Amino acid sequence: MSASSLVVVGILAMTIMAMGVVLFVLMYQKRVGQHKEEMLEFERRRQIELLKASIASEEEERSRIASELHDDVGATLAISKIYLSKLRETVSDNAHLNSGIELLEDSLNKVRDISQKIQPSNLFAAGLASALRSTADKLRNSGEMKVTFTGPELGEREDMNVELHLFRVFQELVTNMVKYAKASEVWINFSQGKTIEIRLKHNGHGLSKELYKKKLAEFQGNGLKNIDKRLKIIHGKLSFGTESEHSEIIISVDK
Amino acid sequence: MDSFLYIIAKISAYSPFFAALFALRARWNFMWFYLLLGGLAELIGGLLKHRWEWQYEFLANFYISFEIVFYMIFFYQNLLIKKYKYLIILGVFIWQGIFWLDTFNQPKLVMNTSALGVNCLIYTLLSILVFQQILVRQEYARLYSNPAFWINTGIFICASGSCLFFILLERVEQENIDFLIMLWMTFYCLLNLIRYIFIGIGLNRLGRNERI
Repeated sequence: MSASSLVVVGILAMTIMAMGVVLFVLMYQKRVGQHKEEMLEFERRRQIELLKASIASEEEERSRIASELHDDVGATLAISKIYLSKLRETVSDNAHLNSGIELLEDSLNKVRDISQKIQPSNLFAAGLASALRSTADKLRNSGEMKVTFTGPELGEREDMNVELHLFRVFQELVTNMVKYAKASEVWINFSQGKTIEIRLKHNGHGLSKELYKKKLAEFQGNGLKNIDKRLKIIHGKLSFGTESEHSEIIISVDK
Repeated sequence: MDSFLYIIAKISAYSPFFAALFALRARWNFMWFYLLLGGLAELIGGLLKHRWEWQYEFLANFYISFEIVFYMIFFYQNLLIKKYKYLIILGVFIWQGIFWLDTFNQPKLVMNTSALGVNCLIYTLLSILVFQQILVRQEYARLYSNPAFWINTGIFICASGSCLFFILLERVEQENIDFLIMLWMTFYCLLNLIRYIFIGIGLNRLGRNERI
């Protein structure tokens, strides 16, 4: 073989070999990248499963406490009230007795309220729209703020888990608003389309996106952590908006 | 055909300038100066050849001598061989000594192509090691965004493709000089073009103050 042919063959062979090596490097890196992505996806799923399990056990505990309160403490208080009411018929001076019965009735209502908050029976019975409306009514009846609710009367039923998580997130945001926002007027809007959306708007000091992220990063506030956990489970989203002097938080989840 | 080859040869010769222009954002990086060096070497070589009919080939040895320094800095930075720093510096000095002795011992003052062939083999081996390091380090999820990958690929393809060419250049010259010129204007110019394009892309991917 002459030197000329040897050079041509050599150049071609070496260039093809070099391209082969580059191709191998690219393929190898692609495989490593895919493996990494699979690991990340696996880890993400594992995290969500853990979150689901922790929230489920929390819900179970809530349900147990709500049942105990309603069926045991509530029933005992109700029976006590019946006994005292019977006693009222036989006692002539019953001013103290009446006060006692009133206190008992008050306690009974409080127990019912707490039980309802812990385990929102109307959410399970009538759905998210109804539970939101009921919360808005309670907020309005407290007399501390003017509340406007817009949304369907009953609405479509969604997956029970999604309804429960959305409602809990909403409850947490309402609690925060009552505690910190000093709002005098609140607007709650609920809509269901391709996206389930709850809008909570008020004229107080709203929670900003930055503050929310900062508190989450600094591990402050169990409530916010729970919101984050629940939203992760249902792939939901929290958006923040400020419209003139109103603060707005939108909880949304794609169907 | 001849004019086509001539155009390819010209594009290849001035490709370092285009690459340097494309990678202007990395103008303080040493590899950017390597592009400038490549472009200037071609420009000066062309001037000396056409205007003053100088023995321009001999001057290519200076380019070879500088090129190895630039490449060694690149390999040194990408192979994480800092503990062998002095060994590498010593190696480059020894190489320079042998190279210049060999160059001046040639029958006439021409380009030392056999040394260039040996260099190409060294670059090929070191490039493979850089690929191995890139895969081990996994600093970038996508190789396309890794500047070192592009630069190394350019050096690797050019060096591995042209090492046999330089080693056997003298023999081919004795056999058929026209064929050699044709080979130079096709294969080598294309490999050279690939090298500078890849180095340009690599530098373009580099942040302003980022090192390769």
